[in-house]
Amino acid sequence: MYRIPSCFYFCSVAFFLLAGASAFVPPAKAQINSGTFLSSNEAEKSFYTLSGTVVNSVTGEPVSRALVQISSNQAPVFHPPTAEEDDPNAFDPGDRQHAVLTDREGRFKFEGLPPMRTTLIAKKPGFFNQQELNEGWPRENHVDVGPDSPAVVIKLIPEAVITGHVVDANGEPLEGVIIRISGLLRANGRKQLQALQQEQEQPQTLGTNEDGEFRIATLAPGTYYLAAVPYPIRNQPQFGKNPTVAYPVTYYPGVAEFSEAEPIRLAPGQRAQMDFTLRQTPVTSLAGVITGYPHGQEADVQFLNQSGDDVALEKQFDPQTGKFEARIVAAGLCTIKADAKDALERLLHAELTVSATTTVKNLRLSLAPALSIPIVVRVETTKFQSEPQIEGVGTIGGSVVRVGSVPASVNLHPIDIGHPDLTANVEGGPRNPLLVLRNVEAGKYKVEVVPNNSNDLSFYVKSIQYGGADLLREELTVTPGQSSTMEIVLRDDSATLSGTVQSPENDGQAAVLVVPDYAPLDPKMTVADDHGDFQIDGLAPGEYKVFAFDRLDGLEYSNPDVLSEYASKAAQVSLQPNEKTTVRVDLIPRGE
Amino acid sequence: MLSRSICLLFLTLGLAAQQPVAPASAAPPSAASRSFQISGTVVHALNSEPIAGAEVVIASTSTPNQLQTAVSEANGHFLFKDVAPGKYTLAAKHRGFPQQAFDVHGPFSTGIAVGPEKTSENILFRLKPEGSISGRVTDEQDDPIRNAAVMLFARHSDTGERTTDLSIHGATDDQGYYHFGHLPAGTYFVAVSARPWYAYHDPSGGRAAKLATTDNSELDVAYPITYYRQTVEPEAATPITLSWGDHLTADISLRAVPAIHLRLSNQNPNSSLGIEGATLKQTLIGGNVTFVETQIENISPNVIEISGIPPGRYDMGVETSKEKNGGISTNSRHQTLNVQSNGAVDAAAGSELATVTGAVIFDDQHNPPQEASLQLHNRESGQQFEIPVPPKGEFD
Repeated sequence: MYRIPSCFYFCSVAFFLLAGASAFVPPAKAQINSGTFLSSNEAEKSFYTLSGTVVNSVTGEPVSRALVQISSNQAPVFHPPTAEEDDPNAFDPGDRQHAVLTDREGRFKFEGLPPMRTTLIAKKPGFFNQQELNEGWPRENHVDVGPDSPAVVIKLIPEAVITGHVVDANGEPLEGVIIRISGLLRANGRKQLQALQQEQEQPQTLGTNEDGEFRIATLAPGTYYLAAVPYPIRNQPQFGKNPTVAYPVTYYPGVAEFSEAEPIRLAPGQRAQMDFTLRQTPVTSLAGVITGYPHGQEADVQFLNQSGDDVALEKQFDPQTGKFEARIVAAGLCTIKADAKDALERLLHAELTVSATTTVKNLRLSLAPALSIPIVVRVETTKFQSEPQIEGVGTIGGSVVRVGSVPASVNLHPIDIGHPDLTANVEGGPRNPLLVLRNVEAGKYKVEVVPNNSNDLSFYVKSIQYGGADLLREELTVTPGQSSTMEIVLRDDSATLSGTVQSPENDGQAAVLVVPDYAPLDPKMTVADDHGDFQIDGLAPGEYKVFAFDRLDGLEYSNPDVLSEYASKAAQVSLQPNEKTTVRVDLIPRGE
Repeated sequence: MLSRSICLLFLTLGLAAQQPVAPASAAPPSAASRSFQISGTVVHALNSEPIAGAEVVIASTSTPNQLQTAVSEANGHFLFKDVAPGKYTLAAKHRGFPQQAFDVHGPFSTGIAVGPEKTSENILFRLKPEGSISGRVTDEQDDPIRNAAVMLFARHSDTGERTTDLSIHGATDDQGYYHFGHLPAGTYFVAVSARPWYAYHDPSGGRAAKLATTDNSELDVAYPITYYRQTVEPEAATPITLSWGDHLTADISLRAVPAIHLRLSNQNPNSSLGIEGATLKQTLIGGNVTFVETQIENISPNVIEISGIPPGRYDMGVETSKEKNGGISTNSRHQTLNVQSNGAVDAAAGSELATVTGAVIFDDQHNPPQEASLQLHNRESGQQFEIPVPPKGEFD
């Protein structure tokens, strides 16, 4: 069976912070230090005490009034016996958490605990805990409660803060400038830029105040980009004529496009000062006509810089004549995108990039059906006869296909910023389902193919071809106006890999990456258990490199160049069809 | 997405700014109409220094939407040429000076009359600098409280009756800091509402029905709404008198107090009243009302527990349901509670909401203006109801 480890799924939805964190966050195993033996007065009743301290991971100073929550994994947590002496059965349900605050020296203590394996989580405003920073990373800080319970040291990672000052060319502060922060994040082992949601409860962080100041707190260690989005600005004249100059979107440190922006790397607890001087640029006008859509139909016209920011101060479109006009503030190139629907509700698209430093008239955009990529999925089977007995599966031309559904889902993840993720639609009737990627913009994409496996169907992705390109080895490049069919082959003679992670301290849990030599862009991930054992099935037969890391945070593991750094420490393994192969792999410690 | 919504906002502003400006020269020239000027000097109201770069606006009282702007020169001088005779309003603003009408006193300002024998030159526009109120919100250990809701109330006496209205809703940042800028002179009050970040209100469910204080008493706490300075009583709040250009600090420390648990049930065994939910409202300074954030859990059918309540006086609204003629009818009952300790509350107590019907009749036989509304205030509970006046004036 092709089983996607549950964690793999989790990782694909959770975004990890890339880089930065790796250099500073201590490995999880360092979180719990062996300490003094604590005996319990109630040992004969099997009640034990668990105590420890919460410290700042950067300074080592104790953190007072941190909330420490204890939750049980296997057993319910009892209240301290003093609390409900008249009710010996009183205990919280297993999912309830018990919590205490640390004292001035950062110390905490839980009493009256039954023997169990538990997890401790500390919280305090201004800090992240390990679980928050390694969201989705399964390595947990287990503590065994019993006669030998060690004292626990929990590290909290202080959040970073960016403050700054926005002024105009004369050094006068600008109020109401929105500061947009984007994080360089990792999704599914791939770098991705993502605008961070600002908490609505913190309006101060959204715009500069009357002194032109801004402050963005609650930042995890990582790499960020800042942009000043300066409209509307209070200080700008609001009465009278249309402005002839305006402030464009400005990326730190004062550049027009994201491609020129300077990354800001923040260490835990870092206080960074990032100032902007905004300069007005001339407002220019772009005008022209849009053709090729049903008369009178609305069309959506967008004016974007090369970073995908909307640069139109004002725009008009007349559905009757197709004429459009916009006043834009862009220092360089402007891409005009027009979208409409034809009489059959199909998407039409046109785009045009012009230099917007002066007024341009008589532009012409001809809407044409948006680029679509049809997908053909072939299923090769070694297990079913030509007349398979499995419901929902039929044969076409000697290959097995499912009837009434499609055998895989296909997603496109754009490499460049400013493009949305795309998912292939299922179209056509129930007896003839078709997979189509609609409205694909030109650009580069990573293709993700997930076979729709079930208990009795287990396929792996054997190949993805597009216009002669092998998409297991390279990214999908879509050129404007051209598309061909994407051909995907699934096969069911998958191999299984099981193994053990060996580490000097032999303390268990590790992240295991299995990277096919034939498809370095598509690593599989699983987690080794406390004993270092792991198993991953549904793998294509072939040659693999197997890596075991103590932590994955900040590792761009879908990038072959990043992993090649560790190649000497990987285990090489050859998987045979329908066979299980066993491997031993050394843990690669990534350090603090 | 962010940039897009901002852009839309800007678009609206841009359109507003696009309204045609009446050029003074457009006035039909006739023998009787000479053109006149409005001119003067913008100075700082407190030190009489000239203000350069101030934006000065005039509008004729007959066409108040048609604005003309001028910018003051280095010596503070401003000039509107070729102004047609008539009455004008004059306003100005500058960085650090909120937009203000000329010579404001209370709700009134002074208009400028333009015409023969009228003095519309050498106006001394004394621009008043804005003020601010800011401060830090901390807990009893001097830790900053993040995301606390900070309310700024302004006292008005414009209409002859003194009222105190919620003016701005703000929030503290990660350092517990709040800031209300661009404030005109006036009398203000500041109140803070927050929940302890570590609060954990373990409902007493699952144990004996008695409402014992739970063992997590250190965490089972709440902050009462607290006014500057250091009082939970609206009547005892200290007014902050802000003069033009004042930048005042009002720090507030919140004290966690044991949170109260209320067990809400129908204590009438002969009634089949169902309990659907409950809300707590508290009356703030000036009769303003706010909902209090609480934790509500179902303990058993028709028994709910409200926890995380700071002690205080509340208007409790209980949503009840009753089987009636085969269907279920819901109602809302209200009772005023002085909550000082854990306890049980009879959901059947309190009065059902009554219905008030009537009609608003306008003397001039016209339909009501679009923005008319009708308010009902309860002098005792502070409860308020507001409905827009419907087109025919009849309300329910």
